[in-house]
Amino acid sequence: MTLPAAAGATDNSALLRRDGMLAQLGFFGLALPAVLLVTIAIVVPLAAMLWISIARPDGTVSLDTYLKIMSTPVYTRSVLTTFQVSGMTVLTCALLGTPFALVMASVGRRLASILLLVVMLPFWTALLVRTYALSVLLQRNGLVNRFLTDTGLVSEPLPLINNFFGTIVGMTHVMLPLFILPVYAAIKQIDQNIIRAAASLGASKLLTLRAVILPLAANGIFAGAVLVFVLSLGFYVTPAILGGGRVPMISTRIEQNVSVLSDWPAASALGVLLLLSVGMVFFVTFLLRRSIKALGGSPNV
Amino acid sequence: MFDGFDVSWPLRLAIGIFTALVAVFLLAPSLIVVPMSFSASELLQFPPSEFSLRWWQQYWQSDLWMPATKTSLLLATVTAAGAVPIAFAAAYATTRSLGWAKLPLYAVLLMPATVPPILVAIGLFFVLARMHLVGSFPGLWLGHTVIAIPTAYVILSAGFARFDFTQEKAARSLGAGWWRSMFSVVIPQMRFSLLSAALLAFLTSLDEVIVSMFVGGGANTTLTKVMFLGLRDRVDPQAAVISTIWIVLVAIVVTVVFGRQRQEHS
Amino acid sequence: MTSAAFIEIRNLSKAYGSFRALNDVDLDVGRGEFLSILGPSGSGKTTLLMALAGFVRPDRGQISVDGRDLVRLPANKRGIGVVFQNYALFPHMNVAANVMFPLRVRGIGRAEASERARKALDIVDLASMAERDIATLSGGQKQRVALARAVVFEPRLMLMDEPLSALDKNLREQMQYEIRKLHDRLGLTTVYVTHDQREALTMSDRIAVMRDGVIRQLGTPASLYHRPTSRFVAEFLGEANILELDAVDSFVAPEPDVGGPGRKLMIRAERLSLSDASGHDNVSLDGVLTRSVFQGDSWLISVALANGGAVSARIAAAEAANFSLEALTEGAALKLHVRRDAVIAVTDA
Repeated sequence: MTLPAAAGATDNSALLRRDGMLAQLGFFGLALPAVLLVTIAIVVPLAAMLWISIARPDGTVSLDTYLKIMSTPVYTRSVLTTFQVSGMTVLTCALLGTPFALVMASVGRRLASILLLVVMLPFWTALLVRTYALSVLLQRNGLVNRFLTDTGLVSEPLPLINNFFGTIVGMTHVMLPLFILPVYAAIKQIDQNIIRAAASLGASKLLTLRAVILPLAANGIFAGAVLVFVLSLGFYVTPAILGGGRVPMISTRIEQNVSVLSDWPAASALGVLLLLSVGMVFFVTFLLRRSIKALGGSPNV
Repeated sequence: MFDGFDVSWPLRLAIGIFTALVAVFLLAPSLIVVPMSFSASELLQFPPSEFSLRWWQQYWQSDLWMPATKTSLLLATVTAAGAVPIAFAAAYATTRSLGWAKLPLYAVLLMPATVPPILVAIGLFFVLARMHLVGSFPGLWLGHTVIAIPTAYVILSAGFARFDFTQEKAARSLGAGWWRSMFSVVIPQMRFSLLSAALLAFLTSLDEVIVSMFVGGGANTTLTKVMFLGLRDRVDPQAAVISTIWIVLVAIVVTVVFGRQRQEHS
Repeated sequence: MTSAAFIEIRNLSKAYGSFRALNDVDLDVGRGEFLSILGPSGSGKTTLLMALAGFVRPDRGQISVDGRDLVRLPANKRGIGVVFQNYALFPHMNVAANVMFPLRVRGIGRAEASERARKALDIVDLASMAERDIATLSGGQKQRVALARAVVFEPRLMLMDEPLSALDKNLREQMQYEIRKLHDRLGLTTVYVTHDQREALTMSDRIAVMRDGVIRQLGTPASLYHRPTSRFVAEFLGEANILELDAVDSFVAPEPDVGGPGRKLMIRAERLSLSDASGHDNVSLDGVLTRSVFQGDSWLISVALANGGAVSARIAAAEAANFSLEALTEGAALKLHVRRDAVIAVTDA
């Protein structure tokens, strides 16, 4: 069989390329509404805030606002408090959440799904509802204090809310499900055979836990910790309610600057600092992961 | 996990108690509001010393709580109605195509979840103030929809990752145009992802505090704003009623969705 | 163009980055022909089929079907039946709704669509399963539904992408027969992609063997099997012994250009025999037995040739018995015979 020469064939590559580009454009069109909304509601306002934080009334640019913030104790204290609250929240989440996730992964299917529901229920309950309920439980004549005084563990009711302690309890309650879920997912992915192998090699439980499971679960613990830390940095509601005004976060100061003082430059500069902190955490996380990979280590660590 | 090992009973007991305590910590706040809402007392306390329906009655007749409830439910509905199709289109596009543009698109679409909500709130307040939309329903809708987009987008992207796009090709080869194959083949098979995304968008809006605080107001005051202001000033037992309704609502929806999903899988 | 071919593909090219999936492919398929595209994975066979179906946009080239260039036409306007590897039945519709889908899309009323779907299901012997859910069907039944759905709107051209790869061996052989029967009965033109050479040999009028985005050889199953032009095609289609040109005594090159660099000789394993049948122009190969494996219907023996090189020969059970092959031990001297016209010159790639 002989093929007729492609004499009649025209080079249609330009047309086909155009068709391909049009199709690609169609896909961009589909993503456009989402991008547009995010741009209007977030990108533009953030850019505006950045401008407000550095613009002087006469149109020149300066870092005056930032210098003012860094020399004002009210603001420096709120930056410190924010990092203290966030760090403490990560710590309590890790101490409570890691063993809980381990238990979830080691019990039978039925119990595991019940525990999963226990984790998810607060997740689905409104933030304000939970914060509200905690404030009732922790107040001076609340259930916790009455239990402590009735059993004689303390003689006087303890101050459990409107302070740092109450804030951490509330923050932990909000963040704990967000910490447990990635850790649980990571432990679940560990090959059961590795654990059986460790057992058959005579490793004790503690050794298995320390040498096999925790390193492999570290991926989840790391992810959970970063998530909790970043979300805590910008958290507003829980510290505002359970801190009772005594735990001033950056977010609280921003809110006050806007709604009480109408000091937009200060609010904007604080906002930019908050955003930079969040960005720094992500960046450091990224660097850590990359350097661990570059060293040839397991990306799990 | 530890089936190759024996765990001694004291250790077992200790682990059990620890797990139970964490579980109680997680659950208690959600559960105690139910009995609290039936308290007869003027003061908030748990357990209540006397029971009554007075707070429920007051809630029903309140010209503060009832309009806020209506606003919140309506807002949550239109937020889901807005965020889900928008996120669906974006998830479809990023799954099917847009190779090099995927990463920047992810970054933009997940921005509302990574930028602290307080910044989203004051930023929106600033922009909407220029457009004279502070306190307006469209302003609230914009804020809530944007905040709901990342959740909906992540759920729908996961759904599309499991979706077999040969299905779409088959529909096209059988003569269906793009819209036809979308509505009679793709969407019906994505229904659980769509339902989950709608549900979570709805809950996200209902739960949202800070944007509602800054952008809402007047006739468009949300339940969360009323509750938050109430909580900050004094502890109002009325809030227990709202919380109870909320929890029952979520429990019903979650049970229905999970039940159907389990049925479908078996 | 004045060709009578039903499908004409000219200069079809498609690259993904630096990977050239299709490299200037030319192919004609006659009306009513059953053509298989055979090749290993990554050879471009599926890309070619998907370009025909309209799911891969080529970089350039023409695809015309029945005289109409449809290279820029969207898939839904091509009117081509496609059967996919995983069947791609719609799980949220029952069998009847699946088969009615292409008709309903074309605006045909429910009653008529239902009637025509019933007829299509009848052709694949599934009329009784119209109301079943897709999930309740076996693999073979799903395959039949996919066939019924692809033919119900009476396309003239049918494309199949490894439709039988998910089925077990027995069912696969039965479905091969049924697909071919359907093709003949409906007067279809079929392009069938497979990586299974036996399937291609069994079903096709012609086979196009692809590798690296190029059609290496196109021809009838017998011509491809017996007269491969390249080592690749020879080895892909069956058991082939590749020897140097001087391995066969007094071998006369059948083509003038044989003997050039990169040429080899190819002998199919089953064409080698122990007996020297008279009346033919045979060549013989001397060697010693290095290995013999009993495989039920035949023996596979390995022989190291005196002239260098080694061959595998498939000896039928009857002949093996005549020569008491069982008694032969490794190292025994052997003489293998092959018809001179079964020694084929091939390119070494």
